[in-house]
Amino acid sequence: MLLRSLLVEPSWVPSYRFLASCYALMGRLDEAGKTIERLRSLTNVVVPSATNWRNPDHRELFLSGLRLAMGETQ
Amino acid sequence: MVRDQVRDKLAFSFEDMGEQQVKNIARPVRVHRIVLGGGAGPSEAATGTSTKPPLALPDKPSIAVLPFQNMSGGPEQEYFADGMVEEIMPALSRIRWLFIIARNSTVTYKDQAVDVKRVGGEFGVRYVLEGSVRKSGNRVRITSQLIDAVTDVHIRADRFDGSLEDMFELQDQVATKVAGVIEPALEAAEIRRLAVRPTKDLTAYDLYLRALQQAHSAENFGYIQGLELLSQAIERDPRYGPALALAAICHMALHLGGWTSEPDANRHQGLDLARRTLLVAGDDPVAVGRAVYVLGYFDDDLNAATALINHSLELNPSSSDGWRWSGWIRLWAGRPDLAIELRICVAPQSARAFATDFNGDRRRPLFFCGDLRKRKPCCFARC
Repeated sequence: MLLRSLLVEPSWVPSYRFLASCYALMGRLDEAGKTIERLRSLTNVVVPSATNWRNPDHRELFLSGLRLAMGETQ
Repeated sequence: MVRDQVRDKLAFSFEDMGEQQVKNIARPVRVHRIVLGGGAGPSEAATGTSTKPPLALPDKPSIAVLPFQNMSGGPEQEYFADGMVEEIMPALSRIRWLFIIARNSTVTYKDQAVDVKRVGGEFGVRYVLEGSVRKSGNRVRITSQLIDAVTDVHIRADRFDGSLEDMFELQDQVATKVAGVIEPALEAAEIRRLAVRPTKDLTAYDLYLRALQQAHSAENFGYIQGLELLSQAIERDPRYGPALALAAICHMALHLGGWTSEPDANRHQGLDLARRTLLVAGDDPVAVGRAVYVLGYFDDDLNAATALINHSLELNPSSSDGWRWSGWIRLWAGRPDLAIELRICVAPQSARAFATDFNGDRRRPLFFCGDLRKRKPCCFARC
C-alpha cells in the first residue's frame, strides 16, 4: 500500500519514512537503505520528531525502524 | 470484533495469529493479520491489470465521481475543472444515505479513457458521475453524465450554464440532479449548502482553486505556492473558511515534510489558521475536517479534535474525507484499531478502494497493529 500510495504522490516524504521503517523492521535493509537515499533527496529531515504520534510505543516503533534503515544500531 | 463484522464483506482474508499480549490491555487479545490476496504488487496497482472479481455493491446507494474533463482550453485551466469536482462532492456528502468514493481514489482516472463497468467494480459502486467544465470569460458550463456502472447505461445527462457568480448554485444543481435520480423522493433542500456561501469574492474563490491544485501535488514547492495564493485569497476575504483551512494544511505539510527552516512558525500559523477556520466554516465538512486534522497534528489536546470531527461527521455522515481525517485522529491518539474500524465503516465493501481511496493511509494503522512485542509491523502483509 505504501508503494501504491507513492505512485500517486511520489514526493510525499511521510510515506518514504514509513516505507523505510517497514523495510528495516522486516530485515530488508538494502531496500530500507535505498528508501533513505530517496528520502534524503526530498528533505533534510529524515527522522522527524513524530510528536503527533501520542503513544510512545508507536512512536518508538516507527522511529526505531527509521534509525535502523539509516544504519544505526538499536 | 472488527474481523467478525467484516470477514464476509471484504476482498481479502484474515490470518489468525492467535492470542497476543498487546500494550495497555491486560488480557491476551486474539490477533488477525490481513492478507491481501493474489500478492498484488505495486506494478499491478500501477497498471490496473488486477484480475480480481468486481466487488459486491454496498447496501446503500453508492457513487464515484470521476475527474471532470477540462474543456476550457489549456492545461492552465485544469485547476478549475478539478476544483468543480471537489466542490460537488461536499454537496453530495450531505446526503446521509449515499456512499461516496473520495477524490483521492478517483483522481487516478484523470485523463484516462474510462471503462465505467470497471470503475464500478473497482470501487464497488453502483453509479459513476463524469462530466466536463468549460469556463469562458465570465461564463461557466458544466455537463454531467450519471451512469449505471452495472449496466453501463447513461441514466441522465445534464448541462448547467451560468455566470461565475452563479458558481455555487451550479454545483448544487449538479449534486441535486444526481441525488434526485438516485432517490427521486429526495428533497433538494437536503443537500443545499448553508445560505451563507463560503465567499462572495470570486477572485478569492479562483485563488483557492489554484491553491488546491498546488496542494494536491504533495510537493514542497506546491505547498509554498499554495500558501502564496491562499494568503492573497484570505487578504481579500479574511472569513473565507476553505482558504483558511487549506492554508493550515499547507503549514502542516511543510512541517511534516521537513520542508521548512522555521517549523515553530509553521506550527503557530497552522494552529492559528485552523482555529480561525472553525470560527467561520459552519458545518462545511471539508473545511472543518481539514482544520481538525491540523489541530490534531499540532495541538496537544486530541480530545477536542475528536469531539469536533465527530460533530462534523454527524452533520455530514457521507463525507469520506471526514471519516479519513477521523481515522487519523484515532491513529495519532494511539488507537489503530479504531482507525481501521473507521475506514471499514467508510468502505465496507471495498478493500481495493482502501488502497487508493486513502492513498495508502491504511498502511499506518496496519503498521501499528503488528506485533509490537516483537517489534514487527504487519504493514507488508502481501500488499
